Amino acid sequence: MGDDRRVNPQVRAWIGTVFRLALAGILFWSGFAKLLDHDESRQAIIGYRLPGVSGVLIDVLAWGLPAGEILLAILLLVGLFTRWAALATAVLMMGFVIGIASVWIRGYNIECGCFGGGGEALTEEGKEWRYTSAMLRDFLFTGMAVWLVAWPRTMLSLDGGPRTPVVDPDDDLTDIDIDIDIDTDADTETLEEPTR
Amino acid sequence: MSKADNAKTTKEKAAAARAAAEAEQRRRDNRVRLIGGAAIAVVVAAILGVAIVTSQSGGSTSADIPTDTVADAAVPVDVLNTDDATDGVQAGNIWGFVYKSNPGTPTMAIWEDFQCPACAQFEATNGQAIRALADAGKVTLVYRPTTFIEKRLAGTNPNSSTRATSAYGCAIDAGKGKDYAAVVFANQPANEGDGWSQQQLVGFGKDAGIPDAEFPAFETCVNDLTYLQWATNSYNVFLDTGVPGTPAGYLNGTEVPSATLSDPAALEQLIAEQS
Repeated sequence: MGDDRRVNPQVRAWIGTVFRLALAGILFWSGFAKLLDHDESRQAIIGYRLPGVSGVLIDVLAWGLPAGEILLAILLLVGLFTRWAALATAVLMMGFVIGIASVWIRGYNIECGCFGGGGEALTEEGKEWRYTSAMLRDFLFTGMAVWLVAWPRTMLSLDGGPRTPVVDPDDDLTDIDIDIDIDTDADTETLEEPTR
Repeated sequence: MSKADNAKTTKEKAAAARAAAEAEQRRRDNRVRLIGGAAIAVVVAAILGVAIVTSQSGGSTSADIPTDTVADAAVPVDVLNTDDATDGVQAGNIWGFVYKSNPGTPTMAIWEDFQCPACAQFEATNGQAIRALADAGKVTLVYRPTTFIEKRLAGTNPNSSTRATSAYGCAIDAGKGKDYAAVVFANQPANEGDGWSQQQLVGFGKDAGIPDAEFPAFETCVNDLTYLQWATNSYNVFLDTGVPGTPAGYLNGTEVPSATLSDPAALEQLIAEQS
């Protein structure tokens, strides 16, 4: 990553922290709402008319999707397996985008106008705005997730922040910082010296 | 020891110390990953378990509404209670109300929930046109009731979808099925989910034009909740076949895109193409 060092790693790690926590909040809210409103989310999954998704598979998705979202939310919240969680989040968000686009192209409604909300999706104009805004929103979330895939080390995370200000976290075997290490280890070295 | 040697060992030792520190750091990282990952997995599994159990024990279905399908349930006249796959009308349309059968024409099935505002809107824009096509002998038309909205929106009158469907069955028996449905849709409450009282459902029969001579039988039929089981049977098919919502139209078993369904000219053309 050639241009890595142009951005201050500390700043980058803080930006990543903001993205991480934002995605965690979004995923948690989205997953929890699906669990609370299971019937509606089950109906919404049917609404995507995914080829081959019928019967038991609908129920597996209707429970599995919110469970997966909450899992990702917690991983991102505490900053564990950040890169993998962010990758899964990006894939999930792109899945939503593709799902919405395919339903739109095929001329169906995702919203059935069933449970109070969603009535505006029934007019063509309302549908256009709704689908466009949903896709833009998911693209934005995908961008945040991709950032975290590229730079998974963030502040306030269990994975840990950037290890040193200058060294890329992924090649910490290089000896660029050797002088610093010798300086800091100087005390232990002199203590051991007499036994030789 | 030369000064150079000394420097070298210092450097080597520093490297060794650093390697040890890194190994220790890695061990710590792995421990955090293992314990953290396991803890998170347990938390998510617990949340999912609670949600599944709650959804199955809870639910807004009240005790007097049947939940299981009964194959030999009483059904109104013109309602299919068999599913003969070789029969153009019956195939896949069990528990549907056959508005008009025109042998040799494509079969249009329409799913509606009486409490669904989009269905009322659909009936207003295209209901008459579709029935006109059936009356003109161009299509076989089957109406299929579902009751999913009441499971979510328990308003002032619980189970309104199921009770209205049962009353609709009574109107079908009296020969005024679609008139009755039109009255119910026209009288949807302002607040989705509030539904209707039994008294209202009886009164709608008058507006639907059920003759006085037949009215007492209709009233008894409505108040006895005669066709609750029929409504449940149809709702279960709705769930099992994964109908995406209401209104939904199926032409010869293939879903009609919503834009076409709500456009009389486009729908007529689609039907003509299938004929």
